[in-house]
Amino acid sequence: MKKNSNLSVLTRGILKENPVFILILGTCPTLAVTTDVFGAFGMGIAAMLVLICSNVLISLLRRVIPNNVRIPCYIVIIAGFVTIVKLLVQAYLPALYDMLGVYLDLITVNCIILGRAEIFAGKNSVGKSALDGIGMGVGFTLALTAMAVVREVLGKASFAGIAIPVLQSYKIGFLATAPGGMLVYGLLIALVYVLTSGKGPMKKSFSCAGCPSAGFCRAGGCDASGENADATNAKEGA
Amino acid sequence: MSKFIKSTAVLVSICAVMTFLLAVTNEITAPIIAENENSKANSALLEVMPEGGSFELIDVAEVELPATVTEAYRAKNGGHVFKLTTSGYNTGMVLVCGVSADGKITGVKCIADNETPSIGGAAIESYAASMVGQGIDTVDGVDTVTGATMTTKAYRAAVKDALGAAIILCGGEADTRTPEEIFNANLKEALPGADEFVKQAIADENAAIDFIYTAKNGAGFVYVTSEELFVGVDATGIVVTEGVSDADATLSQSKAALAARHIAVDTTDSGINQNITSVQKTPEGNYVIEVNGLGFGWFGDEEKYQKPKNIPIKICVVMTPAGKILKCLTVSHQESGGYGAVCGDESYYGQFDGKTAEDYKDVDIVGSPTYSITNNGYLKAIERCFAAVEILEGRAQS
Repeated sequence: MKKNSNLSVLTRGILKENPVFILILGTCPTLAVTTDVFGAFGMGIAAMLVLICSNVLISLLRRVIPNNVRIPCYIVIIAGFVTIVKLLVQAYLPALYDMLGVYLDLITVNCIILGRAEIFAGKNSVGKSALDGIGMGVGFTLALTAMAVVREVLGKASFAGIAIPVLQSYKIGFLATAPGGMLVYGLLIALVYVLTSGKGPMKKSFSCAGCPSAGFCRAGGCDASGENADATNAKEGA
Repeated sequence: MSKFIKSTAVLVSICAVMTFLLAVTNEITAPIIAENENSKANSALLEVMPEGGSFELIDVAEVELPATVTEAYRAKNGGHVFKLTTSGYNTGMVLVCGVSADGKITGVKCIADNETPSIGGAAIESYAASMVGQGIDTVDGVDTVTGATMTTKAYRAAVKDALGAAIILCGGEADTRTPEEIFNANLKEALPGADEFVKQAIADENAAIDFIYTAKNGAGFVYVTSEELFVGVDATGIVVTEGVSDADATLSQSKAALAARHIAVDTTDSGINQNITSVQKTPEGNYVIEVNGLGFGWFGDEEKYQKPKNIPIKICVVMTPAGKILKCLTVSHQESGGYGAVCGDESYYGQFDGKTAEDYKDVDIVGSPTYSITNNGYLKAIERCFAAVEILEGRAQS
């Protein structure tokens, strides 16, 4: 599969470059809102909407936005879309709004969105950026939902707020707490690692090209240390 | 420098565009969000009045409401919701009670109480359902819960206060009387001058009459029709209730009321004129006589007007044993319109009230039936009544 084919752009976010389990981005909402399937799914969809909109707009403006003010521009665009989504959720899905609370506003600083803007949308065409937004959004939603299913079913013996009678006596309350979330997160990362046979891009393999800080980095880049050669190859191979 | 200007311009433009998008979104969502917030804040209010829409707190300082009412809200649909604090077995029972625009309970919810959980507390939970749909006149009819009388009595009184408060806020006076008090007031209104009433058994089961109440002081009696019309009849058998005309107190109802109360006098072989169809005696000793007046409807002029025959003027006369007319009333007739039909007007038959055998013929008949057949028939019928009383009182021989 060609690395940058439309299909690849769309699908890689789902598992191979899953933002949550592979790129380890957006951990804050991942831990915070995954105690309930409904909330996690809603958060995923909300973030996906923002991601698609911001990706498309940033990609459209990628030749207009000067490099030195790109981060403020991205933030304004992302924050704007987040607020729009927040207002819409507040108006039409008040139950979801109550559940997500402050985390809805915090989509603004969700690393996935700014990360995709910086890594992908700022450099790719509108169509591809939209596909990237969809793929990453779906990946984020699936990851959150998977986390929430584990935590809610095992931790609260319910699914999307509906109690599962059989499990009532066996619920593991710990999983619904923050440390339990960490544990589930770690286990799921391990599981996804096994599923992808460790072929997903490792953190180091982003290299300077994918590093948001590359523009300001004065250390001469991580590659200078020579540690990343193998990992970079692995990424290319994937 | 140009780079600086360009960067600034782009950033400002992006900010402006995003601000515009936000403004548009806000414009669309703001009213919906406000409504959501409002309904959330008023979820307890909505629970007792699901149709209420939104609620607005009313300043109750200006209005004198029952002391139990601590907060009052006006609902969008015209109803009211009240927060009430009362004491059942213990103090501190707080109820939220919805009253619809037409004065019916839409729901009650107890939001705090210190009642004994297993007794009063349990009763509170089940009691709310029986309150729904009650109005101020029916709420007292809701039975208290056995074993939790103190709790449910206070509960019911508080709900009644809410109903009363709703009436005050709707601009009316709270009617806090019990159904019995209202009924008695209606009786007294129907028959001024009566003190207390005794319910009387109705011998003749007639659907048109529900109750007959006789005044203890002999002022008369009141009958209550199935349409909840209170008709007061004084000792002489005359309808005295203001606003109730003879037409309202229809013959069948009046007759039924009278029949239930009056003693029919057996007139067989007494020598009383056959045109007298019935004679009854009231408990006060007066006679109620129904008599047929043989007017134009009886004789007619068959060839000329094709008038139906054998239709008498039905007249009801109430007379004292001494032979004085207390009340004269034309019940029905088929005299010619514009001529003898005047005999059906009170201006005509009313003239006989208070007359005796000596002076009944002196009635002023100007503007009354000029058609002599009607007039003569009527006077003859009255005359027969006097004669009948004379016979019944044993003062004359037939």
